[in-house]
Amino acid sequence: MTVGHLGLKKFFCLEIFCYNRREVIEMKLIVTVVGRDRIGIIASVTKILADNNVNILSINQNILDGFFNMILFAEASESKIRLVDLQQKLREQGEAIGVEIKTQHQDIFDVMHKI
Amino acid sequence: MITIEDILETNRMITVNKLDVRTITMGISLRDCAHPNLRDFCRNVYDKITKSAEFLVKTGEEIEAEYGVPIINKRISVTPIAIVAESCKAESYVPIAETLDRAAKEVGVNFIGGFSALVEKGYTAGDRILIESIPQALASTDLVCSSINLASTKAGINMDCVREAGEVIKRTAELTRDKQAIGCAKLVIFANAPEDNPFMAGAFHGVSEPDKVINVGVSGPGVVKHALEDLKGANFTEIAEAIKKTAFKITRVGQLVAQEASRRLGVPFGIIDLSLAPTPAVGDSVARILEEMGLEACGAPGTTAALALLNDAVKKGGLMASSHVGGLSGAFIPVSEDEGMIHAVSQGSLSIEKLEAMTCVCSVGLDMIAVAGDVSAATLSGIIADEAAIGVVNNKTTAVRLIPVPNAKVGDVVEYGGLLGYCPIVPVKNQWSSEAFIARGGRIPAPVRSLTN
Repeated sequence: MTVGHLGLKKFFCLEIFCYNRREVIEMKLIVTVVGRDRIGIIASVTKILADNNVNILSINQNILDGFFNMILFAEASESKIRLVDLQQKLREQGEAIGVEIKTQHQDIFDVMHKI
Repeated sequence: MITIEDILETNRMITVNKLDVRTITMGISLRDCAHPNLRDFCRNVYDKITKSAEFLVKTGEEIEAEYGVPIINKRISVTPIAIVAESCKAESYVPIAETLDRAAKEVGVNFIGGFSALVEKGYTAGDRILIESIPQALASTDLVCSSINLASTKAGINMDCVREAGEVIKRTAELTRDKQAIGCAKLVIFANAPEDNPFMAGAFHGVSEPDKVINVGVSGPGVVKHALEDLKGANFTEIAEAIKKTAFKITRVGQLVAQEASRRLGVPFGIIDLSLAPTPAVGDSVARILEEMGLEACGAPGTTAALALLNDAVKKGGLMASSHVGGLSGAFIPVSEDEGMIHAVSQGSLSIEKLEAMTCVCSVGLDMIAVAGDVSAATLSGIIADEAAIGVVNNKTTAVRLIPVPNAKVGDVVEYGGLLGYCPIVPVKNQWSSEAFIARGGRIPAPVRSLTN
């Protein structure tokens, strides 16, 4: 299934202020969440993203054998938080609700699967 | 457009198949550190390394976190010390090794390579002092790695150094006997050593390299094995295609990490080393890839052909994925660092003679092989001469990293822990002496490069 199938026309290559190097770079994020299903997983993840001005582009989510799977596409043009700090917040939230939350820069997927 | 399947595949490679970037290695030239006074020279070396690599580890950790791909090691390679220390008035280079060790600890890297000499055609005074200093240098430091290049296709084999190298290995083993001769794990004897290799223990920063450079070594045997698991009964054309595609994906990750590290550190990108570097962890083994191709055990007839295909396909797939490829680039076949190799040696399917044949087609040589403590220096030199001959005649890098463990016998197992792993003592045919052969010394001439039958 492509992101296009999810109703998203295209990804926006937006730029953010990178606090590490004080220069402008692109920043697109992919958040994957895996774990036993319970009420409020999406709410708790998206609240952290919203609180940090991270815009959600698309969500793909399903339940398989009682296990919750979600892949969330986001961009962080308005966000002031450093990626490593956002990763930590999401990881800690995941631990609190018993799911594994992984937040990655989208470039790693792009380089591996696009020529 | 990136798909859900792509995302799941990448994350499966990382979490299940142990895809990682094995090392970001910063090469640092020490040519501007030379000084006749040893103390001033050491201060120059310490200052240059700690200043150049101040942010190396932190940057590596940031990239690792942001992209979610493990970067196992951050390392430094320096100009061969025999070259830059030669103008020092010193009788031993052990204090320089200790300086390198302190600098490496200060910046937090895992290893520092370059306590090295390049003597394929002959020795200078600095080369002699360095080689004599190796055993004590490796015994009195934790992170320093050493190498000697004693042969090349253009120069032939320096048999004086071959003799000396066997003795150096034995002395290093003796001085580190309380740690099962671990000093020998940090010493590589090369033929045709590459000047931009990011992998330890053989990394050094060649004299033709820029002042500083970022080289990255990728890994991923588990990913290749997984790709082959779906190809039961497929022919070798399909096997080679699958390995190429996988190597491409692995290398692209390395290229991304290298470019990011280069940009953030303000240091030019050098090369990607397209190597399949195994670890002792289950699921991260080159030997298991060979077995996945249909061999009952690594070492069975067909193993060399399987490795040749793997090594070639890895290069072909990786070459297109990176703008600059170099280093050792291929499949490593260390014994103690590969769970499948350890198993093969333990069950007797893999011998040192078969490993020697495999080094004709792998990326390096006889690597991380523990042998009995009573194996003589001349026998070690004989093995080194054989391995150098394979490299010189076939125009490829070969290397020897043997560990003659004092008091250990065939049947014993030595344990080093971490990425160095553990190794059953590998039998060597040392009941027949190489003494008189090795005692001759001199040089084996460079081989003819035509009439190649």
